[in-house]
Amino acid sequence: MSTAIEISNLRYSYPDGRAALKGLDLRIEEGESVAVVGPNGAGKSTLLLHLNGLFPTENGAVKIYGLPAAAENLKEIRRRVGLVFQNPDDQLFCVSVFDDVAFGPLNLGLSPEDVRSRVSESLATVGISGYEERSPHHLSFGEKKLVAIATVLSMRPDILAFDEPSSNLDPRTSHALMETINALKATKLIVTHDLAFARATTRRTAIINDGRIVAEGATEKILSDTALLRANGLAADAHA
Amino acid sequence: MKHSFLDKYSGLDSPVHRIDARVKALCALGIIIAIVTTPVERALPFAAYFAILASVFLLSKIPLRHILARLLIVAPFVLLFAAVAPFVPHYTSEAGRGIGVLGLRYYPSGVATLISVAAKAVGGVLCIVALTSTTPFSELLRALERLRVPRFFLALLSFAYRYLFIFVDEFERMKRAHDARSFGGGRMWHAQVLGRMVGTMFLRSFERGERVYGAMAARGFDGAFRSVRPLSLKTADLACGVAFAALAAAVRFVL
Amino acid sequence: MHIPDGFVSTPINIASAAASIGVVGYALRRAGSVLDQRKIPLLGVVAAFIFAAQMLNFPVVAGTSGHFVGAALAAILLGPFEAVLVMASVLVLQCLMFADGGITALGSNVFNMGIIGALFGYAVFTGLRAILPRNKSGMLAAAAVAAWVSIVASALSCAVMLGASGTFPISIAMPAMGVVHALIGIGEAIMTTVAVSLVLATRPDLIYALHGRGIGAVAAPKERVASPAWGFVVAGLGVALVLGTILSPFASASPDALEKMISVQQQGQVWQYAPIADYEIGLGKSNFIKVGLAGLIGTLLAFGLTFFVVNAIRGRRS
Repeated sequence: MSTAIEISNLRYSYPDGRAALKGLDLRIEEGESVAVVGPNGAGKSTLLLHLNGLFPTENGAVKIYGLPAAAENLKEIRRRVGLVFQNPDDQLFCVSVFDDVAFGPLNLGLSPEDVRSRVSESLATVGISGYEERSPHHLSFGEKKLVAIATVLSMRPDILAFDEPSSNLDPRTSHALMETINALKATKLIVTHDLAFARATTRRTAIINDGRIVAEGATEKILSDTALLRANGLAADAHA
Repeated sequence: MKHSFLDKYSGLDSPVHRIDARVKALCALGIIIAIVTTPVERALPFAAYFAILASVFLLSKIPLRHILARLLIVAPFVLLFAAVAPFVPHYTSEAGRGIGVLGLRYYPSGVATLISVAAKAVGGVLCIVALTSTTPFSELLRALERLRVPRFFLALLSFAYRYLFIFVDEFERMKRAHDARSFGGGRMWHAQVLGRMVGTMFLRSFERGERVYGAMAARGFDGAFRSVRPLSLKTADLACGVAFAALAAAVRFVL
Repeated sequence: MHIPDGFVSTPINIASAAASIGVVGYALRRAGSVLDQRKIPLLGVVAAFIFAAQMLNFPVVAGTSGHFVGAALAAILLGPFEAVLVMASVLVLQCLMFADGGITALGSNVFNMGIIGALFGYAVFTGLRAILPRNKSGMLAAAAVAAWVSIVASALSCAVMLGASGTFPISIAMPAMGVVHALIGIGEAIMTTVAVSLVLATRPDLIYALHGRGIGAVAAPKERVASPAWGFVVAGLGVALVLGTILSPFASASPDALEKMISVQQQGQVWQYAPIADYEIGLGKSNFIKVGLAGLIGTLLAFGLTFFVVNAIRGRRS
C-alpha cells in the first residue's frame, strides 16, 4: 500500500508575513479516511490548498504518491487530487452544471463521448442525475455542494480532500452528505471543525493547532479525549 | 434581483425554443437590422414586422405580461423624444409651415418620425426578448462561439453572468443593513456611503476572482477554453431561418 | 445613457461599432498576450461587480437620480484596456438581459461608455497624476476629476450621436445631457474617489494605476509616469473640452432658445433634420454649433490618436 500524501515540515506564511503553517508533518496511506480538525485560524484550509500545488512548495514538502508538488508534476497531481472547497460558488463557475462537471475532463483532454459519460457518472454518484442543464445560481446550497463534489469526481481522482463539507448545512442535508462521502471510493482527507461529521466519516483524526499537527490517532480515541479537545479549542471549557 | 430573471422562460418547450440557437441569433439580428433601416414615412412595414414578431411570441408560449414588462426599458427615451419630436420639422420644406395648435407649431413629419423611432425602439426590445426568452444563456454563448465571437470575450461574459446575481444580492444586503442604521443625511454623504460599498465590493470581487482561478487551476485549467457540446443544426432549423430571413427581406424591400 | 434601437442613425452605429470592435479586439489581444491566466476569471468577476454596481442609484436633484457607471474606477483599478473589456462585457449583458441599449446601438453604447468612458477617463487621470503632487491626495483628486470627466464626456458623446442622427436637436441634446450628467458626475466622482481610497488603504497592490501592471500580471511592477508636459496637455484638454462643450450652447442660446427652435425661424436660418434612413448630417446652419462640434470631434479624435500612439510606444519600450 503506497503513501498517498506525504507532508514533511511544511511551512507557509501569508503575503502579509503571518505564519500559517509552521512545520507540519502528516502522512496518509492510500485508502485511508482521515480528518484534520482544529480551531479557526489553525491553518486547516491553507493546508488543503497545498495539496493541489496551488501554493508553491519547495524541497518536496508535499508529495502526492511520491511526486513532489513542483511545477513539472502539477498536471498529474491535479488529476490525482480532487479539492472540494468550502464555498461551492467558488467552484461552480460555469453557467450550467454540465459545463462545470465537464470542465475537469475537458482539461484532461478526453474525447467528447468520454466527457459526457463522466458527467453522467459523476452526477449519478452524488445522487443528482438529470441536473445537467440546471444553472448553478438556481440551486440550493446543498445541491451546490453535491455538484461541487461531482465537478471533482469527474476527473476520477485518487485522493479527495474536503474543506469544511458540512458548514452551513442543516442536519438532514449534513447527514445525507456524510453517507455520500462514505460511499466514495478514494483516499479521503476531511478538514472540519464539525466533530460529529469527522466521527461519522473517518477512521483517523489529526488535530492541527497553530500551524502544526499536535495529536494524531484513531478518530474515536482522539474525539473522546475531552481534555485534549479542550486544550486545542475544540470543546467548551469545563466551567461553561 | 430574482435569480430566475433571464432564464425564466428559456426552459419551456415550443417550436421556437427548439430551433438552433445560431439560427435564432442571426434571425433576431437580421430582423432588427431590417426594422431599424426602414425609412421613416412607411407604416406598413412596421405593421408587418410586428405581425411577424407576434407570431413568433405566440408560438413560443412566452406570457404577454413578461413581454410588456420588458418594454418599459425604452420608455424614458421614447417619452423624452415624444416631448420634442412633434415640434420639430424633419424636412426643410416644412419649415415655418407647421400646424398651429395652442400657440405651438406642430409638424406631421415630426410625428411620423416619432412613431417610426418608437416603433424601432420597441421592435428592438421585442427581438432581444424573443431571442433570450427562448434560448438558455449557456446555449446562447455556445451559439456565439460557433459564430466566431472570441472565446476570451465569451469567457468574460460567462463569468460575469454567473456571478452578477451574487453581487446584486450582496449590494442589496449591504444597502439594507446600512439603511437600517441610518437616519437620513445629505446627498454627499449618501454618495460616500455608496463609494465605500463599491470599494468593499471591488475587493470582494477580486478575492472571489482569485478563488475561482484557484478552483479552475485545481481542475487542470491551462488557459484554453474547451467546449464539447455541439449545437446540432437540423435542416428544419436552417429552413426556418432562411424562410424567416426571406420574409424579413421581403417586408423591408417590397413593402 | 444606454441608447435604444432607432435613435441613432445607421452610419453612426456602424462607425462606432467598427471603432468599438477595433478597440475591444485590440484589448483582447493585449490581455491574451500577457500570459497570465489569472486575468480571465478576475476580469469576469469584476465585470459582474460593475454590473451590480451600476444598479446603485443616488439622488441628484429634485427627485431625479443618477446611476453609477464605474468606467473610470475600472480603468484606475484594472488598467485602461482591461476596463474597456469589462465595460464592454457589462454593456453586452445589459443589452441581452434587459434590452438596456439596443443591439444595433451596441457599438455606440460601447463607444460612449467603454471607450470614451474608460479610455478617455483614464487618459485624463494619467494626465492629472503627472501634474498633481505624487501623494494620496493627488491621486484621489485625479480620480475625482477623471471620473467626472468620464461621465460628462460619455454623455456629450451620446448627445453628439443623437444630434448628428437628427433625432434630437443638438442645441437641446448637448446642454441637456451635459448639465444633467455634470451633476450625476459629481456623485460618480465622490463614489469613485471613496472607492479608490478604500482600496488604497487595504490592498494598494491591486491598483493598476500605481503599478502599471494589470491584475495578476507577473511582470515586475513599475510606476507609470507621464511627463508633466504631456500631463498638462492631456488634463487641460480633457477638462477644458468638456466644460467648453457644455458651456458653449449656453453662450449662444438666448432665453427664448426653445421657443426659437420650435418656431424654426432663427435669424432666417432653418433647422434641418434628415429622415433617419436617408442620412445626412444636418445640424443647422448656426456656425457656433458647427464649429464647436467640429472642434470637439476633431480634438477627441486627435487626442485619441495621440493617446494610442503614446501608449503603444511606451508599451513597446517596457
